[in-house]
Amino acid sequence: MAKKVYDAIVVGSGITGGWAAKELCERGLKTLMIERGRNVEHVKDYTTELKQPYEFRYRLLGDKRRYQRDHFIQNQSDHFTEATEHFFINDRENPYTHPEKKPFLWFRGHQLGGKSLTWGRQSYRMSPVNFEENLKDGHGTDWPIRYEDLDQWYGYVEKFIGVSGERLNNPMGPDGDFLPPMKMNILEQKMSKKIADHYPDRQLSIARMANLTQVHNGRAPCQYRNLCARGCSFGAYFSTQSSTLPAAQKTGNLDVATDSVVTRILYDANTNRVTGVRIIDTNTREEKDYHSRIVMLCASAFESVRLLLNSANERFPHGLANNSGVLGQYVMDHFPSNLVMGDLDGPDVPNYMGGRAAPLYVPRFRNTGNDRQPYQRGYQINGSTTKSNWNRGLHGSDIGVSLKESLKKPKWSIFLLAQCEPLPQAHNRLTINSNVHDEWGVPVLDIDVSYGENAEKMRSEATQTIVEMMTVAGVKNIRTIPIDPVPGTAIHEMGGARMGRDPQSSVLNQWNQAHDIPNLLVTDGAAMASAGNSNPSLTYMALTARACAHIAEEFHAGRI
Amino acid sequence: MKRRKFIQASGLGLLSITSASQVWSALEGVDKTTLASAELLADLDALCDLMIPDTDTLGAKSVGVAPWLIIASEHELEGANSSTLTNFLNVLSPSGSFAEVPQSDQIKRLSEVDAQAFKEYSDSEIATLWRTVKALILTGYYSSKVGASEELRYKLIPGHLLPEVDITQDESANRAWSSDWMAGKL
Repeated sequence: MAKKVYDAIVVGSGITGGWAAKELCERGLKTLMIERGRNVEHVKDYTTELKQPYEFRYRLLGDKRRYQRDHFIQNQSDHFTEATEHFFINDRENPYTHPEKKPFLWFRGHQLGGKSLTWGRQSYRMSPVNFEENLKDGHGTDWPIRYEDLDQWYGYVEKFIGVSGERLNNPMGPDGDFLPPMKMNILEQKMSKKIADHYPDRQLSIARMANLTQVHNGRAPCQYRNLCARGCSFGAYFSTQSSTLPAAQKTGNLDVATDSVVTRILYDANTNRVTGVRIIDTNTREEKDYHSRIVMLCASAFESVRLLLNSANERFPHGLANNSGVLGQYVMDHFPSNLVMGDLDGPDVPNYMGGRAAPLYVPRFRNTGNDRQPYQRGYQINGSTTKSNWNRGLHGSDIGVSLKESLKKPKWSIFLLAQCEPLPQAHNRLTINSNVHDEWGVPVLDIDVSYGENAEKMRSEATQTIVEMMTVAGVKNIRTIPIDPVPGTAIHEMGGARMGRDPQSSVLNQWNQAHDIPNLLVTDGAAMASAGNSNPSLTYMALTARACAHIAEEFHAGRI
Repeated sequence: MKRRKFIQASGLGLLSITSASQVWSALEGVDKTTLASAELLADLDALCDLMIPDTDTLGAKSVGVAPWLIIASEHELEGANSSTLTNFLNVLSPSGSFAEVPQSDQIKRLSEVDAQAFKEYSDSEIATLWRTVKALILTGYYSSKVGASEELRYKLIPGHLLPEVDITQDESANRAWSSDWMAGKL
């Protein structure tokens, strides 16, 4: 029997894998999407979604003893709780290494939908400045595209997934095709006005979220539970399951293989083309080859790089498509300033109904226009006003009736912190550690990432600036909570197979194709040539949609 | 010390086991709350009652927080371990069962410990233990059905967002929500 050859194989089913499957299928390509983890069926497999706190054995804190054994990394994520633990990996079975005293926190979700089920959902366009800074300051390599190349694709993605947000007419945070924003409360509105009055270059707004504020493309609006990472049967936030997977399946062009760990990309040196992938079936432990005319890696930034490095062969002895020698280098993750907190109590503070799944957002204002700082790049600010309730009882002295009465009254507080852009640097790199293997016998990554002097200067300035802004905004009892930034914490790991103009210094071209092998593409975070200062997922989606349109055109023209 | 043995060992063939950790290890998988001594549960009940008493809603003792404390400490929630509860009770009331101490003395003693624990975050043994036990009691109570939805307010599916609810017209509108305590993360 003749072997089946797909038009395209997509490795990974998360935010970019789902988009690749949708776009390729809708453009007529018979596509196989491969996911290493288990199947997660929309609605049916959101098993904790409607559970009450008291229905959890450990009241949402989880079994810490088991976590120390099986989830010692994942447990350090804010998104990891007893209600979401089944969407995170077992750390024992999925090891990686890092140099001593240079820790890296690698958060992963091995299931259909990947981290699209648990992501933070903040969705921003990178600014024109972000695409130009590598060239201007000399760090990293020049992006092979500019904002104008991605503008229409940002809009294309926003219209499909639904992004709620406020239009700000600010070039550092370009507006998109937004649904109505989630509402700020009166305290936030007052703070926003005070900040705008004092600082003409700064806008305190509501975050731009892939959460629906109205019915959109057949999906229901947000129910304001603020429990998104449990999965949402309403389909009110973007995930593979709620959005891209149904669209891909509707075409009849999609096959899905779950429980399949891709261990190697197959390559034909005679034609200089990839021909498919080799997988291990995690249920039977048997190996199997799938064949295709295009292979698109959407396995998450570091897993895609790991797969390329582990696919080294005689023609590419240092990693597939690595003629440049930079595969694995220039990896990045956003780092935070210190956390700044304060109180907003007063006689007229309101209460609220509903959990708003959107924090606050201040677009970048540093090192732009006439502003110059003693560091390079910049940061956006995020945070939230919250009504802390009973858990503040953990931090003070009181017992009995007075404690109970006191905790009945909510207390407004605010926290803000900066999300800072790292410089792309060659010494931040991924290599294969052949001495350590995962559950499937695949050599693991060694992750070597650290921040430098530029980061420390930015963190320090950002922290001081936030304190000043809070003071201007009328916040009381301002205090700074030191943060020792551990790379990986932002869960924005990216780079390692960067796009660039020069095949000698980059892995991917302007269409996310490998310079060295034109039918091999990488469209997840690995492609990023710089991190920008905003949450990156929307950019990954836009790059993926754009790359799919191009490769489908090449495919139909017979050039691939 | 007889009074605070974790397990009613008689009849379980465990009399040769002397430490709590050995007992727990031997009983891996067994629901420990059914094995906890009546004396330990009485002491924990007393603590819960002092900490969050019955008012117009039931308090921590009445909603059964004490048995949950044993599960929580065994599984190391809030930094506890399987010895935390007994160690705390031993230093809180070295001369005997805390439950048998007159209530006025219980209040006095626990108030002293509580004040010390949060005064510049003392790192004395009793202060450290109390901060952990207090956190467990608070969690156990305010995540219970009564604590979450009667003492405070809880709505699993609000369905809409009202960013400003006027609290001047209705005092009950100012009661805290419990439902966002594990969700209010970025």
